[in-house]
Amino acid sequence: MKIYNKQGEQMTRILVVDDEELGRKAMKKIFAGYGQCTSVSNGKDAVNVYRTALDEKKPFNLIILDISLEDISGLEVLKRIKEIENIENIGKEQQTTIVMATSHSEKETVVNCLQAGCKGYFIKPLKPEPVAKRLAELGFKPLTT
Amino acid sequence: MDDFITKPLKKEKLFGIIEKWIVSNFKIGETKAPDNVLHSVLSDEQSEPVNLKEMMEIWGDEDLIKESFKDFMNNLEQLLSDIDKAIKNNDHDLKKAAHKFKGALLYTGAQKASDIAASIEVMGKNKKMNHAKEAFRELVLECEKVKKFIVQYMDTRNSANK
Repeated sequence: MKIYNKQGEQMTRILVVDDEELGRKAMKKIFAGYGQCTSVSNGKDAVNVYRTALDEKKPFNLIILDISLEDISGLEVLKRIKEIENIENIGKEQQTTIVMATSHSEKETVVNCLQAGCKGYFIKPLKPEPVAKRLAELGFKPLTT
Repeated sequence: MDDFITKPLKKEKLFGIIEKWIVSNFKIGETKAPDNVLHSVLSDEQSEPVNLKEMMEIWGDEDLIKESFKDFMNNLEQLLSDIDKAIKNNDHDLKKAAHKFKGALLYTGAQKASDIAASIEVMGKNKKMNHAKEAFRELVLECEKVKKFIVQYMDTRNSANK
């Protein structure tokens, strides 16, 4: 089920996962320019919210996932989501694009995430410009209004 | 060998040694060190605890910067005390607490403080706590500078708006 804004532009459904409040705030501000942005603060909620959206036939198009979370790691969340996609037989085109968010000191973990199926990573703090560039490469367009 | 530096390398120590050698070498030749050499060594030492240019890149406008500074100030004591507690109890929460604080500092443009928090996070992760107290003291000191910077920033912005 696709959703559109008043101007008829398709809204991207985005989930932001970060355990830190300021980070969530900054990211929500950036991603609001692409569509509907939801945020959660831990890994278990991320998997649950993803599952619910899928069951309601309103799956997320994009997930920005912090590598280091308080309960389960971002890598673990990524693996669980990929597992669900596998079980539910979701085709490549319909799969959620997952991009990790990481700080410089955790960069080595990114390799494992790339192997597990994420589509790249953003270095924290996220800034609108580099984010827009990468999202364009991944096929996400910002809303014009 | 002319000198040595103990590991882990710290910027302050390293610059101290470089500075010492620049100054003493120039003295030998009785020539003054070019101002720009010394300046570039020293200016990094004196750089602001908060990078406003970075803040503008992240948040895009002054109102949001102010809001994020406020959020940071509201949470600062709690975040610091979580790290302090974890160090005192020697427990596994240190990695989490330091990680969370590191994140907040990154979105506050406080690079140096965030680097210190990152080093504490690594100590927590590797369960090597022998230098954690020292690093925490360093973090508290740097946070004092960040706090002072933010208070000044708010004051000048508020009086400018009057």
